[in-house]
Amino acid sequence: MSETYLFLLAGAIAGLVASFIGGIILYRNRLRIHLRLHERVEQERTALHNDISEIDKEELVETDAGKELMHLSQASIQQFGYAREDVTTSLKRHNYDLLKQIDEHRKRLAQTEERLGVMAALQQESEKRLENLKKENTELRLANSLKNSVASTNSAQIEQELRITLEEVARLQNQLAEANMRFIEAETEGITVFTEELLQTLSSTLQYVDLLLDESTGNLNPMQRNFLETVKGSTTRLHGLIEDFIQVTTLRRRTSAAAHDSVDLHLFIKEVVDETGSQIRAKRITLNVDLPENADFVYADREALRQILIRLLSNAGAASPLQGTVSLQVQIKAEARKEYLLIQVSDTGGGIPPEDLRRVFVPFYRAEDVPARGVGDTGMGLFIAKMLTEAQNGRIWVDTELGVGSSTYNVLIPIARDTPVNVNAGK
Amino acid sequence: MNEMTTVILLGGLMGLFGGLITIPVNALFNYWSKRDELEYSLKLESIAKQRELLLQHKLEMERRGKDKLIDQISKRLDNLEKNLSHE
Repeated sequence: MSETYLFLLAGAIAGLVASFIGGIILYRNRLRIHLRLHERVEQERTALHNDISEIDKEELVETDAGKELMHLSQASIQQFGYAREDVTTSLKRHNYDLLKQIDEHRKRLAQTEERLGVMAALQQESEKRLENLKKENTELRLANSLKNSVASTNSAQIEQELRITLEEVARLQNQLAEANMRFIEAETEGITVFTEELLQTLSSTLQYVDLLLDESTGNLNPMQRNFLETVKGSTTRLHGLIEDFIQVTTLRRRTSAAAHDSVDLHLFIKEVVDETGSQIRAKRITLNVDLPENADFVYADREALRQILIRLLSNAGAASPLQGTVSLQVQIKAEARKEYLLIQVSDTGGGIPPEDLRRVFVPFYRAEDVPARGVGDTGMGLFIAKMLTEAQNGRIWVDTELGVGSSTYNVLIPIARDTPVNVNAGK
Repeated sequence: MNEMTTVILLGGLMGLFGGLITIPVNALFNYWSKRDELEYSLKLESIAKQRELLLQHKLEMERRGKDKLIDQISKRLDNLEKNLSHE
């Protein structure tokens, strides 16, 4: 019987064991998941608890999220029973929190010290800038005080003094100019008187020489006649030179153009040709005159025109050889509503070398191949003609052909046909 | 039927009954397991919510700190400008 009970018990135990083993096999995976979840929840909870414990509770109250977090944390503790920590763990946590706070304070202290250093540097820099500003301020004050002192002085008074000084300077300048003019006039007058005296003396000398040559005072032997003729030639040349000199001086003193005379061109040219005819006839020079047919009267400086023509004709006569040819051509040109008198005097004197062209209107110029110097040719003629032409606001130039052997002197002078023209208007 | 066969059959029958007894035990085990899983999911949800709130709190504090710093810098600049204008 006992064996029977033993078998029954063994069968029941085997059935239970078998069902447990089957249950464990069935719920194996679920148990594993359960354990993992438990582990993960614990990890997350610990980490969260650590993160929350790093924050002060007072700080948590400051934000809405913090407040909600506190409520939720307390609710979860109550719900899940996490607050049940033993004393040792609590103490450890407190100690850990204290150490953390100490570290934080140290960090803050270091940051504060660093900030203090920066602030000290800033303060030093500010003090320096302040010093500079003070200096600049002092300079500005000085400048302002100077400015104010300058402004406070009477500017009208300074202007008045300046005006008086300028007037005084202008008055002195005028006096100086007047004194210069007087000096020049006195000088010129003295020279003119002297040269006129010289001219008279030379004229009387020439008269006496003529008397001697006429043998009014007795017969002359050939040698005496030769000597006297040399004396006469030299004296005549000196006479001409002085005459030219007087004319140049007079021209330089002229401040304005001469009068604008009505000039009958045909008559005027005839008179000038007659005046210079003796020289031309002496050398048996052929003179060709070409006058404009359409102009009887023009308005110009008659005396200046006469002198220019005489100088040009004399120069052409002196330059041309025996039995040479001198041509005089006068034309009236109109350009840009203005009229000009173009005088062209040509000679057959052999032309002027190119290297001498720039010296033609210089005083005492004579080309090398011009024939022997005749009486009255002083080398000032062309210079005087140039001065007179330019005084008329005109232009003078020479065209020469060395190979052909002729030179043409051109003079262009502004004139008027109906009313007198102001020749100085263009100056 | 001899005695030995009867004993084995009875033993098997007792085993069957014993196995049948484990059915409510397994049901209880299944209940506990599901309850724990629910609790874990609730815990995780709560932890996630707390994490979110913690992050919000930190961001808010950071923003406030920056605002405070900006205010301080502005005040210092104002003071400096005032001092300079006085000088």
